[in-house]
Order: sequence, then structure tokens, then C-alpha cells
Amino acid sequence: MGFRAHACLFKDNETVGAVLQVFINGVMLGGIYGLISMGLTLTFGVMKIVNFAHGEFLMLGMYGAFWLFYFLGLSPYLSILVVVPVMFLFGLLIQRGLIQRLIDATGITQIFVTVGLSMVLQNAVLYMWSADYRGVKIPIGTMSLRIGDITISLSRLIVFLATLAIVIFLLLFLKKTSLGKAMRATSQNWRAAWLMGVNVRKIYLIAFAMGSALAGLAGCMIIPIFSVFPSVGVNFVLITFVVVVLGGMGSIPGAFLAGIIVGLIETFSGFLLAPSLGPMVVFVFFVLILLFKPSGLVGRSRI
Amino acid sequence: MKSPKNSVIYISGAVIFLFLLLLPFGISNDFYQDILVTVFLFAGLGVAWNIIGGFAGQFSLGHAGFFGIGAYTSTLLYFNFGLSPWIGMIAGGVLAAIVSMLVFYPCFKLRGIFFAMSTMAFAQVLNILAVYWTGLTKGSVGLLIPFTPGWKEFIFQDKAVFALVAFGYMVITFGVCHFVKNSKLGSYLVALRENEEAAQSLGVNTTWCKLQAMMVSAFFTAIGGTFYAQYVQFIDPDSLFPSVMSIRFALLAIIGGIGTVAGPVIGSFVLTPLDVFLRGWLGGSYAGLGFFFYGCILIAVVLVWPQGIFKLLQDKVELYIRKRSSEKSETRDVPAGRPGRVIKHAAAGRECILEIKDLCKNFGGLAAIKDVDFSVHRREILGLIGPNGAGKTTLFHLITGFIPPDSGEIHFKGDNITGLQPPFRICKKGMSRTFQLVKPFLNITVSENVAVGAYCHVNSISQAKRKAEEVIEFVGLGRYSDFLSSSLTLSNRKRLELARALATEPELLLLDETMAGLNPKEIDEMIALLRNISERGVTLIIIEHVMRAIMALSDRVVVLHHGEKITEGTSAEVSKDQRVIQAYLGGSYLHVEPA
Amino acid sequence: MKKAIAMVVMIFLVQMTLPAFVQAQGTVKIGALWPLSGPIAEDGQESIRGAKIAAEMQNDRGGLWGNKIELVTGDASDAKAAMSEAERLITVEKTNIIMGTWVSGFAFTASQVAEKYKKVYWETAALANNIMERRFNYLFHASGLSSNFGEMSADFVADEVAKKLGKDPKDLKVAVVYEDSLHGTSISEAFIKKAKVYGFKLPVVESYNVKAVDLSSLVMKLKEANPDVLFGIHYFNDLVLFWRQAKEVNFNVEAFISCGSAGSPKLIPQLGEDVNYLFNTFRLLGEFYDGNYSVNLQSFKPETVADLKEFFKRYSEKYNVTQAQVPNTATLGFSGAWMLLHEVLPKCKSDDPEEVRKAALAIDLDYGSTAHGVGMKFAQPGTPNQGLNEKFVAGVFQWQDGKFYCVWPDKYAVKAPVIPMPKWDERKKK
Repeated sequence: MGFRAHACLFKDNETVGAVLQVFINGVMLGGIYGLISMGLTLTFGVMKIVNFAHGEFLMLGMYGAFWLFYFLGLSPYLSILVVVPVMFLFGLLIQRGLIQRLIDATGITQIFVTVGLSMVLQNAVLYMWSADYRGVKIPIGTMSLRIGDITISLSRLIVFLATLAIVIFLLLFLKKTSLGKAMRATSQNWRAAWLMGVNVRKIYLIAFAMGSALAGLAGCMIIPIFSVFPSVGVNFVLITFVVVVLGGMGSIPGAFLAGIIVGLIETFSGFLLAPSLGPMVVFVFFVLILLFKPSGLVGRSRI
Repeated sequence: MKSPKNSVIYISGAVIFLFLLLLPFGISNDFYQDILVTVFLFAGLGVAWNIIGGFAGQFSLGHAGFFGIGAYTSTLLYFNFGLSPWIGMIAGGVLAAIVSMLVFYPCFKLRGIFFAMSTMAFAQVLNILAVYWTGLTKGSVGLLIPFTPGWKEFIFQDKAVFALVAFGYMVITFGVCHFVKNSKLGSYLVALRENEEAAQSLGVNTTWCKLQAMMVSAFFTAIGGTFYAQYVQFIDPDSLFPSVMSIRFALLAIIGGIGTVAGPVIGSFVLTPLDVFLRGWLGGSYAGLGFFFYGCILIAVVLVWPQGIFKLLQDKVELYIRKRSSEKSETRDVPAGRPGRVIKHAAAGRECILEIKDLCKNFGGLAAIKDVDFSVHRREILGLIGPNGAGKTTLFHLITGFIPPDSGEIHFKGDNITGLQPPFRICKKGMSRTFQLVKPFLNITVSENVAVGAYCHVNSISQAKRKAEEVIEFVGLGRYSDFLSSSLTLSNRKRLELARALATEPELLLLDETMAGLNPKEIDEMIALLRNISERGVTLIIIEHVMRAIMALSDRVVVLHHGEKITEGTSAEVSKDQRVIQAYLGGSYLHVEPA
Repeated sequence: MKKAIAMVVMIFLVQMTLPAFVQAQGTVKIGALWPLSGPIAEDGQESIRGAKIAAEMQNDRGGLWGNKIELVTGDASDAKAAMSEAERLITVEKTNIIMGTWVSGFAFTASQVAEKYKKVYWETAALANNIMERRFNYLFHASGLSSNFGEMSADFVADEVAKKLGKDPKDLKVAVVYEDSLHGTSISEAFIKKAKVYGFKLPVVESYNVKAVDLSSLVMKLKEANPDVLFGIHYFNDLVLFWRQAKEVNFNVEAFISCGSAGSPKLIPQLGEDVNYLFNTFRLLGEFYDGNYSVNLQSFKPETVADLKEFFKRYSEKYNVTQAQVPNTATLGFSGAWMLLHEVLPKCKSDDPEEVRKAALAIDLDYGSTAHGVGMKFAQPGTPNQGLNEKFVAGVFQWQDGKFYCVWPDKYAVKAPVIPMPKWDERKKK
């Protein structure tokens, strides 16, 4: 079969350095996964709807950043100021037009309507902007910090720090603002929240729109790293689900933590076994967690 | 009326069958023949998926995994051992069934979205393995099946033969699905899909049923995979395992009609040509436009017709037939409690049928049930009362196997059943229950609901039906027998729940707040019914807040408060007990006379 | 209601047959089957653009036997779709010839259909060796197979790279990474076979999935192994990701030879200067940098050069790119189609498959008589790889100063290869 186990581990300094590097890579990758999953976990936490088209929202954010770069030379990090509000509005539209109807629907309907949405978005983009890979080349894209033998990709470090900041921001938002509290209430028990005077419909709208905006934000942050093409969302969506579930479906810090764990699993299995098998180990791990601790690693199902 | 509807169905079914059987020979153009083959193949695949996805409600998005297992198994056996793909096909099917059992047995406790995700992960893992394990599968290079026509080789020069084989595949899966639907397993699958807890309480071994459905589904999906390999003569991981393929199977069932046998067939007849059409017409010139419309159509159909096209057709047909034939005019207004041969236990004696000893259950730091201790004698009616939150329903859950106790013992008919799980085992022993919030199987008729209970001790569909009818008469729901249970009033739903539990022929019946939400007249009727049941020999434990019923029915009463038994005795004794009055903070029941 | 559905289905089916009835007088329909949707859509679309320009150019020269060429497109979105589309093109559109297909899996199934109907299948690009091992009578492959590219890459490493590094091939550490689809797997197999003949040391041989979001573990493994030379087979997106991550981790090699999408001009916006020094084993498909072609045109026939220049002019005008940015998939699509439409078919009197077949088998043109430098001589019936173009040639290109030049073999080179590749640190100082 040809699994290549990594021999001579822990035997010399060089390899220890390699392991440390793999660890750093895993954490950085995890930051990316965590960032992409933020929006989905928020939406799920409040609305209990899994959006299979989340990858496409990410893709739209990436395209947004790309076009702004292409036509205006705007750095993707600055594009955030434009893309996030636009994606927020887009999210409002989609929620109002489509997702709202899914609140009481069966699981099957939810899955398939969002699958259909994903198809619609992917192919609309394919039709309008063709299948070409588009990327953004900025100096940060390939710069890295060097600490001894360890290198840390700068663009990924930025993502990691940004994700951390977003987690803190969201936690503060949810705990301190009245809107945030209303969201938490709705996520725990929408009926009770409703009876307490919370406009649940509005909360759903905002939660979904925020999820969409977060996906757009993630898109801006990762376009220096990955190229965008119409079906790029497909590469991310399954991993995003894994992260959201492992993080406890609705827990913001949980998603971040889970993202890092998934990133570590992937890089270590890739390094010790074979690069192609990294994702496979993640999926097996995912199913095992589902079986033994379905509430996820962080173990709550509310935000 | 049933007969005209049935004969219409049979005749039109036969006509369609003959038409499709002869169609391959009528088509000379291979391109259309290919569409026909694809339609038949995917119809079969959709039907196979529906067995687990639609009937059992375990929504799988990973069936492409079985599809691939089938294709690779038969092909590799052919390459390495010269085994005819016909045999390889069966081997592939068996392998898929075994894999499904091993992988999904633990996964069945996952619900809805989580189960779907675990299936997606399953297919992805197989995909990655198939690509990586080049020694076995040649990885992405794929396997090319040489074109050597012959029956043994399962390759045919004439596409019409392929179409015939695909037709056969579709018919066989259709037949199997139909058989399952109209069997005990089918009834159980619907029950567990509608409400798994209620199904358990009626003696349905839900896990085993799901497993059976899954294995059958995997088996036939894998067979479809073998056919695909033989037809296209080239397989690689990319054409077999991607999630698009899994989604396709599910899509056929959803568009066509998810809980129905014929649904996926219709789905295939609609979607497959649509696929080809969109790709051929639009895809060439405007990449993406075709699938854009496809996605829009999908959304529209799922939102507007979640039941699928078949249900739409079925309703129209039924409407048509009902207009033509006369209405069923016999109203069977049988008053509740007409004597019948419904319940057989007439065992006399005051022996203990249920003993609870020092039962305890904690949730976190909260003691929900603490040292509860009492017995129930045969043929008596025991009332179980206490303020809200006293732990009455929790006690029921502990007794009937929904929650395991932390300590203490439960003996039923002399057997120690402490901690016996899952609940269906308790039902099989002769104990049934109803629920505080009724759990009817909404999307099926009253008769079908009760039949689920009846199957507890019979196996044939006719016996179950007969028993169900008897019980339905007994509880007074005779004229609603063919109505969908979703159309029943609350009072009738309660009767339905009762009937369902009775159909399992229990010796001990636990009733949780049967009177709640009923108006005084309905309460009187229910009291009479319960008395009737008791007279037939069934022991009853009833949780109630309606004191009138407790007074009227109970031989003895047990009172719970904060999880502890504070007293027991006759209803008169208990109603005067100071502790009880204090617990309820109400003295108005001090002087209620027994009815 | 059932009737309504039946009618709708009938309408769909009828719609699809309509084009066959609406056939203008005096046209020759030729099928063009490429992946136009799905993940490979970009390559498919570009290939068809090239083929369409070939058809236009031939039409301007009088078409075929006084008739206009009309390309009927089909979308080979997966292996089964390729099969169905081939059938549609043959039985509904009534084409006698189909060009295609880019992806080996699709080429398999589609050519099988064509062979059954005894229609000509003209493959321009798909690489898998076993496409041709079937010895079909009506299948022709205008270009090369993975074995050619794999072996040629090994030859280059042994000749040029080892020489320039001053090492004996047997002392050379060559790491091999490849994307795990057919493309990567088949070329790497061929390379490794030849590499063993030369005696290279192969410290790392790893595959990865083209959709991977992170290749850091792969790069880490490579860094650990510290090879002299890296041979990689990539598609576009993964190459970009890989090379970026290599830079981030400071993974250095003396030479990186890729075999795949490393020749795409679209790499410049993605990788910028980092693309320099990359080698790519490639068909002889170049770009015009300030009027100069990046392959030595002196080894091409003058008429071919003229045709090539016309193609570039038309493409850049039609699709609004400079002549340095014409995607080579389009050039290949053009060349393959041109070989059929301009060289083979005019020698026939009609598109009757038997005639076309005979003409193709009889043709014998020297190297340099096609836009991508190959000759034309198809392996005769009864020989292994029947139908394969035996006069195939390719070369190794290198990015220098943001331009993609042929550097090997000498006959087609316009510049000398630069070996070793500067380390990342040294590049920055530039």
C-alpha cells in the first residue's frame, strides 16, 4: 500500500525542528479553517440551519477582493471595508428570500435548498466570470517570519491573529451588547426569547447576514493565499462542517479551537503518513468524535 | 372505496411496464438509447437510496461510496480472477452491505444533519483511499474494461440489451422496495422515521430496522455501480465517489417523492433527460448556465413540492377517483368500550406485576427520583400524582427503559428489568406506555399507526391490520380508521395513542396524563374507556393532574414530591393526607366524591 | 398531469434533435468535444477557442471542398458525459469526425464510442498511454503521451542539469512530487522508470491531491530530504500554492522541473517574479515576446510559422490579450485542429471516415510542420500504439525575467538554461 511512516522521529535536532515547523503550519492552517467556519457556526448556533452554500459565500468574498484589487489596486485587507458590508447585504437578501422559509422545514429541505443555492451561485459565477483561476499577488503573500529554523508565513499569521481578534470581538458582542444577548437568547430557546419581546425574525436575519459577512471577511483574508475560481468553495465546505461540528455547533471559541485541532491533525498526518492522507485522517477523526462526543469537543450547542 | 383505486393502479402499472420493456427495441438511435439506460439505472439507484433515506428517514449523502464499492469490486474480481461480473456484482453488493453495517451501525444514533455529514465523510474517505491505494485500484489512472462482448462478460454490443438489463435492475429494486414497504419492516421504518421514541415504545427495534434498510440499500446501490462499470467500461475515483453523485441519488428521490416507491423512478424520468438537455443545449455554448437553471429548479421544487412529484400525482389521481366513486357512507359510531375480543389477559390474582425498589436517578446535582419504592398488583389501577416537577414522567422513563436508573431495582412479572434498554425490549416483555405530549405518526393513517403496535406480536400484514381494526373499534375511532392521524383532534389523538399501545397486547400499561387538554365530556369518555381496559385485565398506572379521573379510577394512589414518594394509599386516604394537600397547596379536593 | 410531464419530456427530446434538421447547405460539421463545465472547464474552453480559430482560418482559405467548416461543440463534463456527448455528436448531429478531449478519462470513453460507429476520433492532448494501447482503427493522437514527457524530463535532468551542477547522474538526488490524478500519476511513472535507468537517487516520491488546501506537510518533507532537483507534476492552482508555500518555508532546490501547467502565462499575476527559473517540460508551445517567439522558429517550416503568427494575431484580437499571454492550451487546440483541418482533410474528397483514415495513415510530414513543432506520421495498423503520432517532439522551457523560453533541446532553444536556481534569499536581493 505504501504508507511511508516517518522513521527517525525524535532522534535528532533537525527532526525536532521539523516537527515544530509542522506544528506551526498546523496552527496556521487551523487559523484559516477557524476563520472560514466562524460565519457558519454563528448561523447554525442561532438559526439551527446548516448552510451548504457557505463555501460559495466565501468564494464571493474572494472574488470581491479580487475584483477590487484588479480594477482599483486595492489591497485585500482594505477591501474588507467594502466586501464585508456588501456581503452583509447579500446575506440579508438571501435570508429574506430563501433561508427564512427553511426555519420550520425538514432537514432534507434545508439541505437541498442550500445545496441548490450552492449550485446556483457557483454556476452564475462560472457563467459571468469564467473558470479562470484568479489570484492576488501582494508582497505579504509570500513573506515569512524567520525564527531560527522555523518560518511562519506572514499572510497566514495575519489570518490567525485576525481570527483571534474576531473571536474576541464576537464574544464581546454576544455578551455585552443587547443585540448580542438577544441572539444568545434566541439560540438557546427562540420561543422564550420571542415571548420576552425579542424580534426573532430580525435576529435570524441579522445572524445570517453576519454569517455571510464573516464569510466575505474570510474571503478577503485568504485571497493572498489561495486563488479563486467558481468551485473553490467545494474544497473548503466539508472541512468547515467538520470544524463547526467539532467546535460544538454554535460555539465561537469552539470553532476556533476545533479549527486549530483539525489543522494540526491534517499537517501531522500529512507529514507522518502521506500528504494525500491528511484529509482522510481528519474525516475518520470527525466520525469518531461524532460517535463518542456528538456535542463536539467544546461541548455546547448554543452560542 | 379501495377497489377501483387499486385496479386503476394495477392496470396503469402494467401498461407502463410493458411500454418501458418494449421501448429499448423501439429506439434505434443510440444517443436516446443511452438516455434510456441512464434513466433506468438511476431510477434503480434512487429507489435503492430511498429505502434508507426516504423510508427510514436516515438521510445519506454518502451512497456514492457503495456505488464505488460495487464498481471496483466486480471490476477487480474480473481483472484478477476472471470472475464474471454477474457474480462480481453480487459480491460487490454483499461487500457494500457488510461495510454499511460496520460503518453505520454506530452512526445511527446520529440524527439528521449529523448522520448526513458522517455519510459524506465516509464517501470522502473511500475516495481518498481509492486514489491513494494505487496498488489495488490503480488510483486516478482508473480501470479500463476491455470491450469483449458476451453475456458472461456482461458487455453487450447492442445498447438495447444494456437498456433491458438496466430495466431489469430498476424493476427488481422497485419490487424489493415495494415488498419492504408493505411488510412489517416497512411499517416499522415509517414509524421510526416519524417518531423514533414512540416507535421504541411500541416494540420497534429501531437500530436493527435501520440496519436492515441500510444493508438492502447499500446492496442494490453497489449493484448499480457494477452496471455502471460495465456500461461505461471505464471507472476511476473521480467518476464514482464525488459528492455530486451521492447528491444525485438523493435528488431523484426528493424530486420524485421521498417516501414513496415510485417516486425516484419518476424523479429519474424527469431529471435525467433534463440533465442531458441542459448540458447539450446550454452547456456547450454558455458554460454554467445549464446548472444554474438546474439549481434554481431544485430550490423551487424542494420548497414548493417537498413531497415530490409522485405525491402530487397521487393526490390528483385520488381526487379523480373519489369524484367518480361514491363516498363510503358507513359511519361506525361505536361507543367507546363495546366489548370485544381485544385484550386477552384475564389472569386473576393480586400478585405483584411491578415492583420498584429504592429507585434513584440524578441529573447532575439534582435528585430527580430518590428512593422511590412501591408495587403494583395485577389488574389494579394505580394513580401516580404529584405537583409539576415531582418526577412522575421521569419515573415512567426509568421504568420503560428510556433512561437508565442510577440505583435501585425494577422487577416486572418477576424478572429484573432494571436498566433494560432500549425501550423496545420492555415493550416486548409486555409493558407499554403513552406519552405526555402525544406522538402520533402524523403522515400515516390511524390504521397504519395502530398496526405498528399490532406488529409487536404478529408478523403478517393481514394479521396486523385485523388486530389494528379491532383495537381501533374498541377505542371508538372506527370511523377515522383511514384518516391521516395529522387530521385528528387532540382527544382522538389521545385515543390513537392508547389504541397503539393496546395493540401491543400489554399486561401493564403506563398512561401519562391522558386527560390533559380534554374537555369534561371527553374526560368522562376517557374514564369509561380506561375502566373498560382495566376490566379486560390490563394493569394500569396513570399519571394525572385531573383529580376527578384519579378519584374515579384509581384503586390506589402513589404521591410523588420532589422526586420522593411522600405517601400512598386509596384515593380517599391520600386526598385527606396533610402532606399531599400541602404539596399541592390546594384543599379543594378534600371533599370530591368518587364518580 | 402525467400527460403533461410526458409532453414536456417529449419536447426536450425533440428540441435536441432540431439542430440536426437545421443543417445549412454546404457545411461540414465536425465535432469538438472538450470539458466545458466543471473543474477543468478553463482548459477545455481555451482548447476550443483554439480549435475554432483553426476552423475560421481554414474557412477563409476556402473551407473544405467548397464547404464551410462548422464546429459542433459537446461538453465532456465527466467520463460518462463524454460518452453521451460523443454519441449525440455522432447520432444526432451526424458528425463523422470528433476532435477533443484534454482529459484522458474522457478521451477513453468518447473514443470508444467513435470506434464503435467507425467515426474518426482526433485526440489533440490527452496523455494516458493506455488510450493508444487499444489499437483502435479510427483513433488518432496528434500529440504526445505521458511516457514522452516523463522520459524527456529525465533526459533533461541527466543531460543538462547534472552537467551544469557538475554531478554524475548517479549522485543526483531527485525528489518527485505529483498530483494524484491520471496526469500526475502517469507522467511520474514514466519519469521514475527512466530515472532508474540513469540511476538517480529518489529520496522522496509523494503524491498529493490537486484540491488540497495546504501543502505544507509536503514541502516540509521535501525540505527534510534536501534534494538537488525537484521534479513535479502539477496543475495550475496547486502549483501556485506549492511554490508559494515553498518560498515561505525557504525550501530551495538547484532546479525545479515541472511538467504541467507551469507554462501558463497566468502564473505571472499569481507568482510574479517567483516564477523565474522554473522549468517546464512541455510541448513546443511558445509566446511572442516583442515579436520574438520563445521557440526557435528556424526549425519550423515557413508556412507553419505564418499560420502560427496568424493564429496568435487572431486570438489576441478576439480575446483581448497580448501576444505574450495567449494560453498554450489554446495554441495546442489550434495546432491539433489545424493538423486535421488543414493538413489531413484537404487531402480527402469528403469527410468519409474511411477516406480520412487512409489519408491520415498516409501522411508523412517532417518535424516543424505543425504549430507545436511536431511532425505527422501516425503509427500504422498492427503496430503498438496504432494511431499515435510518432514524430512527436517536446522540449524544456524555463521562465526567465517573466518570460517563458524554450531552453532545450538545442534545436528549439532560444536561450540557455539557467542552473542552478538562486536561493530565495538571493532572489530578494535582486
